[in-house]
Amino acid sequence: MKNITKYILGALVVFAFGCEGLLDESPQQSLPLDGVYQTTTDLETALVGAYNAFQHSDFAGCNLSMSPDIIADNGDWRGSFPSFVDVSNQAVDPTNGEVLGLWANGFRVINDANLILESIDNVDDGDIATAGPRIRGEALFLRGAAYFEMVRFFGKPFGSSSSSDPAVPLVTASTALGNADLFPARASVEAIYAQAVSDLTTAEGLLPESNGVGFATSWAAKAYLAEIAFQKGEYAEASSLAAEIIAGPFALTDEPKEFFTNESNTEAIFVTSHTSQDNPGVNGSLPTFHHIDGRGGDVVVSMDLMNNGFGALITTDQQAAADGDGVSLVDLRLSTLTSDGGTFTETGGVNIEKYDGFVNNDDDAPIYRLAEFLLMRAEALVRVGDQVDADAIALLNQVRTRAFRATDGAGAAVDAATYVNYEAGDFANAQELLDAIILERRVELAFEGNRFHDLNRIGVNVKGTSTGADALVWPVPQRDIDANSSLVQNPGY
Amino acid sequence: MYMKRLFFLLVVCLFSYSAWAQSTVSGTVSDADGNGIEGASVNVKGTTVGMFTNESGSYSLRVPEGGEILVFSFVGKQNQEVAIDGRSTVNVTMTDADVTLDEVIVTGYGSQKRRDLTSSIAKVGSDEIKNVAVSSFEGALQGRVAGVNITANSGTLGAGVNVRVRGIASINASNQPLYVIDGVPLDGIQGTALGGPGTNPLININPTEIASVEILKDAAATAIYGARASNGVVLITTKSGQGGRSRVEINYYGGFSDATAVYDILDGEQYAQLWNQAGEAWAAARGFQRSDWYTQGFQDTVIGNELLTEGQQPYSDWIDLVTQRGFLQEVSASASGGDANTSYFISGTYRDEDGYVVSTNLKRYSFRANINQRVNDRLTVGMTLNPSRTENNRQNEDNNVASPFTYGALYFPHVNARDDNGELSFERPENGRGQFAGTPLGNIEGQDIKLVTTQLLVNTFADVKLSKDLTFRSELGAASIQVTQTGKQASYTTDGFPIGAANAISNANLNINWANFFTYNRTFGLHGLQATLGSAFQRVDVVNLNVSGNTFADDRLKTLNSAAEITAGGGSGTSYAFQNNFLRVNYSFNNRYLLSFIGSYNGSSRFGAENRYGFFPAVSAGWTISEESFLQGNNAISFLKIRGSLGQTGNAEIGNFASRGLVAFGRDYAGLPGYELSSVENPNLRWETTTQLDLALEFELFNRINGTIGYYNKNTTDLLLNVPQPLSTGIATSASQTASPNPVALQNVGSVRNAGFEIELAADIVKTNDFSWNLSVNIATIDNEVTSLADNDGDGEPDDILVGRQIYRVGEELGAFYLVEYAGVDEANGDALFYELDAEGNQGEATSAYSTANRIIAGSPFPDYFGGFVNTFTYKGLELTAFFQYSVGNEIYRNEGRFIMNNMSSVWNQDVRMLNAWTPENTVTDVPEARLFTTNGSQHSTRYLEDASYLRLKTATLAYNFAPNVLGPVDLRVFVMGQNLLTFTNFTGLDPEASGQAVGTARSGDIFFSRPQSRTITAGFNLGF
Repeated sequence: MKNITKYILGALVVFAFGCEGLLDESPQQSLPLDGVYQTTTDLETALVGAYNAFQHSDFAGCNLSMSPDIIADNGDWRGSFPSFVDVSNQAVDPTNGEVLGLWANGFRVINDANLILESIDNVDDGDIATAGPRIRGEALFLRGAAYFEMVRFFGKPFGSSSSSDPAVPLVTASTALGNADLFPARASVEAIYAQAVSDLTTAEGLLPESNGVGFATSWAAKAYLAEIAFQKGEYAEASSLAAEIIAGPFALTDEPKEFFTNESNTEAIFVTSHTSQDNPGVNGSLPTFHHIDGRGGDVVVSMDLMNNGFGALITTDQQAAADGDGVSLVDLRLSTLTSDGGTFTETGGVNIEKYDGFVNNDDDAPIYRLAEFLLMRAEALVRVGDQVDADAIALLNQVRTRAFRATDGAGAAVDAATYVNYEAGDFANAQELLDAIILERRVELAFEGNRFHDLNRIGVNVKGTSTGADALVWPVPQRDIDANSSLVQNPGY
Repeated sequence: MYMKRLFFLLVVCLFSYSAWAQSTVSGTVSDADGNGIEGASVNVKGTTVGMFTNESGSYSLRVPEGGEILVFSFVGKQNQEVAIDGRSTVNVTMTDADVTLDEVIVTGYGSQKRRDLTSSIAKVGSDEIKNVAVSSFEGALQGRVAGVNITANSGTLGAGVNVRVRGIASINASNQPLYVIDGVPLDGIQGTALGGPGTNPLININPTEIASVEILKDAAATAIYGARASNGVVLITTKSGQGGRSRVEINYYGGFSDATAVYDILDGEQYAQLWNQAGEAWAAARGFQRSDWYTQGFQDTVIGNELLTEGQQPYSDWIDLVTQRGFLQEVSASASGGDANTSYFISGTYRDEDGYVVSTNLKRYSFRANINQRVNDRLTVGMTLNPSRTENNRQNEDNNVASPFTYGALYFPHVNARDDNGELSFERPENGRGQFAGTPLGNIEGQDIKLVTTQLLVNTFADVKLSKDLTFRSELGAASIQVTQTGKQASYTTDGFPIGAANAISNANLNINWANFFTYNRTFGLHGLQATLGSAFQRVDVVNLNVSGNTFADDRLKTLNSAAEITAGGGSGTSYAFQNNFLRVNYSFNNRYLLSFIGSYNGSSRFGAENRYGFFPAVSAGWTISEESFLQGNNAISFLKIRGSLGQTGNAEIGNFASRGLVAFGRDYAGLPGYELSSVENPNLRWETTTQLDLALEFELFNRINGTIGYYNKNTTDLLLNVPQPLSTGIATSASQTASPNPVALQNVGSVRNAGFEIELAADIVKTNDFSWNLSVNIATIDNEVTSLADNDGDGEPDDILVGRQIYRVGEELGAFYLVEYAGVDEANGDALFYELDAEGNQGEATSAYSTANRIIAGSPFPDYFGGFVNTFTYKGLELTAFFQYSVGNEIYRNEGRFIMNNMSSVWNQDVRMLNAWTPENTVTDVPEARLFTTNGSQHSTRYLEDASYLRLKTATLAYNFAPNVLGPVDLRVFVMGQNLLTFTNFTGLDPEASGQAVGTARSGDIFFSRPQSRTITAGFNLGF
């Protein structure tokens, strides 16, 4: 009896105090931080994580393409999401989910990139010599791109006061490795632009010319640098960078629709790649919000874009010439990339159909394609030379030739260029040519995230609101105003 | 009681070998009416000799040498000790025990009589639980126990239930108590969520099998569970057999259920009227007439949705189409009994309940065998075995627009639900833009979602009698819980549009628990000593799988095998372990001075490497004043005790690897795997510590009124706080491609205080032979305050934490509503107005610019006081019980208001009160002007915050108990019961009881289309023999 008691007691004591190993459990789908960022493969995998963040629906996956068009006059929001109602009405408040999403995911990309950039010098394996420069280039590319996308929403348009206008915090050290100031203040618009230019310039030198669909290349970096120069009004720089891109390995697709339906098209310079695995949810993708079969078409083509955009592309003279020949003109961007072939019906507005993967939400999100740079260079040439520039007209006509089709009275195809292409004589002065380029740009790039930024650049009211007005500069998310006392809110919020 | 009998049996058996016969004593044991009591135990004091009485109450016992006193005991009767005095016949009349004071309370690794308790433990017995027509046992506890606030997070069938013992102490760790069923801690199980707070993981626990539920409230009661006890502990004890008394019971009830309330929304014409009104206002703001839209054609700068033709609109009452009067029934049968060596309880239960939402149904099959066997004088073994299965045919939850009840409230009323041929119609109305696909009725018919929970609970034990005073017990238990949910959404549903979708998830949860402990029990003269020393180890392992796909050839195909495209698939696993070493010593002197010490030394895999183990002590003391000579013989005060306790417990309900710095995978891009930083390391992370003081006075007056008046004060420190990190840190907490990250650092920082009074009173107001009226009341207050928080940004001030519309701020209640104050409508122009704060922080000017208005502490999710009261009237066999539940002083934020009460700023249908929107003719109103596609007052504000105080007739029961012997050996009770029959409240939402949040969360009272409780009327019987 005594022995039994002793054994049981003994066993109990051992069990109770001798088995600390019993409490050792390990996570199964995560790894400890000190076990990664060690090898070239680790960094490649981390880089994929950074692209994944960049691809988030509140960032490049949807928001960057959609919001600029509904803030501006291209689209109207007709859906039920209160956050986008407010975006479209230029009435966001600091708790707006889209505002928070853009800020949060931008910094997610930046921290992902910072971790890679800080770790890369510590990697010492056989592959780093070959892969290292590209990995560094991709990380810098993503960081620079994220800063440029964010500064255009959270800061005033680039201009004379940019050295003092607040934008977003400038974070170039990683959070996890203890290097970063976790409570940074906002840097100036100018400083953020400078960081973006610096990152992308370095990236351009490190990146390869091709890198697979959805991944950064030297061309993608150059495209960003061109647009940054363009956005800053540095037109000579934009013009020359655009010229380099135009001379690069890109070609317009035969029809506008092909860029959107064929993921290995010739025109893409940079897109974010989406598969059916990326965004299986209903809410948050480009087709969800744009396509009539997504959620019924939350975003409609505004009457202004129909009337003063699509409706104004053909001049009276061009139309008269076509009519005289019994030729009818069709804009493929209207007939193949909008619902109902672009005809206005009484059942409501027209939806854009650039994004039609509403089943699996797997449309790639466009960032840059060749047409944008044809029009960029055209505009930049005119602005630099301040004259009716023949090269600019030729560039503009490339886009128009691709977009329009013509048929004669018998229904046979005829050359549309004859009717829609401009000649120098069509323009009385440089401004008229500029107007035509900006109009073409508005229609060609509609719902690809340019219109708001273009209006900011050229200083034209955004749906009646002056550029730079408080309502057009997004607030710092309340979440970070509350979490970081170094942040100062934008005026008007 | 069962524990006591078990112990008695053990004592009887263990020492029987040493007895030999000297004389025989026989007799009859009867009750006050002279009826023989079957199954009463008779034993010879100081020996192990004993037996049970037979059917007529007779016994015949051989008394060994030296046996002088017989001890008679029976459940519900006072024990009696009778000297034999050389007699050969000893007849005994047993009187009823004091049900309150002699009740045995399960305490965790032991039990105690309530009379001797020095801690705060509430007990709810089988009678209060078994006939209540709720699917979960927690529902039957609502309003029964002072200081325990129980709210279903939705009225959805099988929804989770929040149980809050003495307030809310934790901001980021769970606030649910620890559940222990027959000794096995049952945790680590999650409900499954479909756009809502999720299902109840404890749904398989069958209320009719429960013998008692003990809720451990203070530190002295809970400290034995150490690091996870600070939210209280709920001990569930299932029924067991009684040796010597066979009994068969058959229970049945059946009835109907309806929603307690539904939304009052616009019909087709009203919708058209408000739509047009809103459209005109929108157009007017742009300087033209809405009716001119199409004549102006391309000349306008904007386009919008069509004007609706008033007077010609069809109407579908979607809410009516998606709701029904549901049928519910439950039948159970059990047999129990045994002999001196064996006792058993076996039972089976079938439950079938329709929800009031069409197509929802819950079925439960539950079986149980609880068997104890005395192997020999020293060893007793036993097993509880409980296989069960629940099938929940459900619909999406409240937060998901595909939920028929939610969508029914929002969807266009001015369309036809079916076409002329009776087929589902999906015709879009003229203004049908920006709407999801599918209709509410289509979703009902085309969604097929089935959640099956298969659960096996098993616990085995061995009791070894090491000496007269010392017992060793080893328990090995396991809970194996398999949750499988399959869903199919037809091509015409919101989620399945346009080609059909399907998904499946599986969660397999294995919970192993091994406990070993010694119990020492001895009386030395006037000193009584009871001690428990032991150890327990628990490991929980979870494996999750999920697959989704789409593209179906035919809507009749139901499984993923027919999906052409598999869009997502995943598998994950996690595990954690707890280790607990515990000691409890109870000491009593002269039956009146009671002292107790409890300590546990706890470890968990969840804590940081530097802080694996912690020590949780508690002391308690009691003084039974009524035992003192100066109160002896006092008729007024039949019992009086004061008691108090002080101790520490912990809360460890955080993520299994929350202390680690991790990168998370699944951050994939272009078909390649990726990872990101998902959490930062905290090697010092440990449990939250709650230090709790508990004081109480227990009394019984005139043998008629008994009660407890208590006070508690809980200070929770070292909160497991997700300290918000700026989003600019870029910590990527979520893999979702649509949700935003929420970077936090989990730290032990901050503190919360909960204090309150708890009063429980029960009185026999009238007590005659034929008629009695008993009233029992409980009331509890909660004084909750956040006492410190992290100073995250180094400015010397604790930082507020905002989650949704709620705030954690020092000096305020935890999760107080923090909202801009709505100032009504500008009579001049119909603008919604909000208050700004002036320089002194007081209410200032009203402004229409929401962005410049200021948020204020606007309300509290905590009631000032809450509880319940029961009136029970009996007249002969007739019994009427009315149980009311109440809560006073809490607010609910109706987040759904931004959709259904936004004065037509989007296409959604509206509450009828929106018809009172401002117009130039109707300027005095609190509903702003309806402006299509324009936010006017639907921002988050106190407009949607409401007082949710209520008084509810929770259950009303009319029953008839047939008198003994009327039906021979059969006893029968027949009853009619109504639930949620009446509610008195000013709350304008559907249900003031809704909590709207997942069960563990600190936030509550922010609801989004939460479905209301059901109103049920059932009739049934309990038959036994």
